[in-house]
Amino acid sequence: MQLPNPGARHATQTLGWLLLLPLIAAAFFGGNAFGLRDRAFPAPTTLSDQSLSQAAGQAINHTNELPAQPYFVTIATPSGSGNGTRTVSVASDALQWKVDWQCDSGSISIEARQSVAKSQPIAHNAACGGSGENYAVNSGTFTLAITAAGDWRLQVQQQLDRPQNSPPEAAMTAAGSSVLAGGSFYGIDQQGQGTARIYHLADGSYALRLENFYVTPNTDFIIRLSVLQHPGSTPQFIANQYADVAPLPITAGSFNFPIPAGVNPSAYHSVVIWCDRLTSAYAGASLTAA
Amino acid sequence: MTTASAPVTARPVPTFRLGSRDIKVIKPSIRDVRLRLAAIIISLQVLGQTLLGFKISVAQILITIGFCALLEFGVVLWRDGLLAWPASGMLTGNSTAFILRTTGTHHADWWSLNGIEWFIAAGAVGLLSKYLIRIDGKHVFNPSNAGLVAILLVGGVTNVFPQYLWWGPLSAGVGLAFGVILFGAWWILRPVKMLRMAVAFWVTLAVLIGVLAATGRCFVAVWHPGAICGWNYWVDICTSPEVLIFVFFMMSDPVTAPRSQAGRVFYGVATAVIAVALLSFQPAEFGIKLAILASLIVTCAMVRGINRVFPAKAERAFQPEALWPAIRPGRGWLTPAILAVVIITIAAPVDTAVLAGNARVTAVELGLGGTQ
Repeated sequence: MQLPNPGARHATQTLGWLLLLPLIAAAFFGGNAFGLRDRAFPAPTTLSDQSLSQAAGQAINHTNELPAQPYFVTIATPSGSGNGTRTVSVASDALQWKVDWQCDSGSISIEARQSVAKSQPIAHNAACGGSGENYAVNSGTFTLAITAAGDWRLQVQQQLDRPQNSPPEAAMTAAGSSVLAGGSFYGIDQQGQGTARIYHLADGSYALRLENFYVTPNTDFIIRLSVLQHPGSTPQFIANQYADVAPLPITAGSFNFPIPAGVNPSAYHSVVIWCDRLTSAYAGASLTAA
Repeated sequence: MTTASAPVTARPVPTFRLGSRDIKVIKPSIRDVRLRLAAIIISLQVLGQTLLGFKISVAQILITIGFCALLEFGVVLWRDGLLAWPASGMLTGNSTAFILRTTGTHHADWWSLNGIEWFIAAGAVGLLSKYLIRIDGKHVFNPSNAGLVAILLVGGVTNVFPQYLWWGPLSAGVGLAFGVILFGAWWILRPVKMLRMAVAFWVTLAVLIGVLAATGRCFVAVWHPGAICGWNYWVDICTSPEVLIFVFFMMSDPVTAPRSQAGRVFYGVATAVIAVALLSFQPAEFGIKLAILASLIVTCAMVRGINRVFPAKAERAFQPEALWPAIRPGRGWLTPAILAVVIITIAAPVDTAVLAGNARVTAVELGLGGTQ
């Protein structure tokens, strides 16, 4: 660019130097210096950074196992009055665990002890008359040391991302029950695999079983039935009639779900895993009559 | 992507007067190689919208192309007094929209404007890098590559992501896309003499990725259940349509590549080596794609040096003392431009390397708290 006079050249030079400032800022921001980018654009998740790291590590190192969206399962519900100790065992592959407490009077302190040197405070002189919760890490056997004046109740939950496998309901294999339709999952907006099977039970009701199932992890999933034979996209799915079956709390494994009484599965031709949080059809399974 | 200059015409240039300036009118030429590239990218976009499930809307594509076209049209009119068809700007917009994706955009949601600001920002950054960061009258970085790297790093994995390495299981659509890419490579790289560069890049990449695959490296991608390791690690990176598009249609930009054939081969090998060095410790596809894109930032900054070491036939013999003749302070944009090149050349690979330690990136590829 030809600059007509020294004044314009000087202004251009100054502008050039000034433009370096946003460039430097972008370089720091793009490198997530001081966690700036993560704070400006937080991931829409309730998982702690430590849980994310552990889940990521497990996924990259366990190449044959498909992880589920991390979910909490209850491992103990101890209760008591006054001071006491309780033992809990946290699975070796748990991402983290937590204690929810309720107490009636005074205050409560809870400490998770694994050894003399390793203890984690869960609650410290927390006022009673209500409830609270706190998280802990590491796995193995812990002694919960409770210091309280009155009655207390605890719920200890561990967070896992391994598939959960439930056997078929007895009613599904009982005499008089039959498979109405079934099919294999495929990805729509995300990945899906495994099978879906609709059972007509002896009592006239219907049930759905997902087997060796996996869908790209996320939360707020709903299992839906669609009149389409092979939904190929979210807009196509929502433009046609569908019915809700049940929420899907765990994203990998084998599970059973009762189909609501008002839904006639014969009128539908596919199962769709719907993510309500993202309004997205994640995966589908085309149903063919058994 | 490739932005070969339009052929020079000997005919008198039409001119008109706008205020106090004479404005020349430059008509588009049917022989412009950029039209070939535009045809290939548009063909792939059509396949992406119809058969391949690309998560980008028609509106996002058109707005990105239109914005880049307007920006370049305005800059060229103001700077050079030329009323020119903004072929390069449109190509930058098209290439940006071909690779960039915004979180939460669904396939077949044709008119979605979800995250349109990221597309506009990528186009703007790319074109501003072209017009503001110039050394001896030439831009240093491939515009769409610079814009993509900047926006992917700044926006982060929760807002934006690059088009997937693989476009679905082998199908008619994927086969057709490979056909278009390979035909485009032959059709475009031959006239701009970039075939050797492309082969040098790909062979080096294939060998080095083979070593990584054999030593047990894996990565996770949101489109694949479980980790991708071993033979699939090699196949999914080396035969990725995205990687082929990168080498055939982005690295091959003659303006930002070395001039001599030997220099271009070195440039291809060096880009592959840097790409593999950066992606070797990335556990997620997001980091792998950024490593490949960021490698071109580094080698584009090296091009002036490569031109000195491997001069074209018509140029003078290699003179070590003249390796960086452009570093002459006090020439308007020159010093800030060189500093900008240095900052970008350091920041792009360093920021990309840092991604490997960010668990959120891997978690989002696993579908945990992300929506790619």
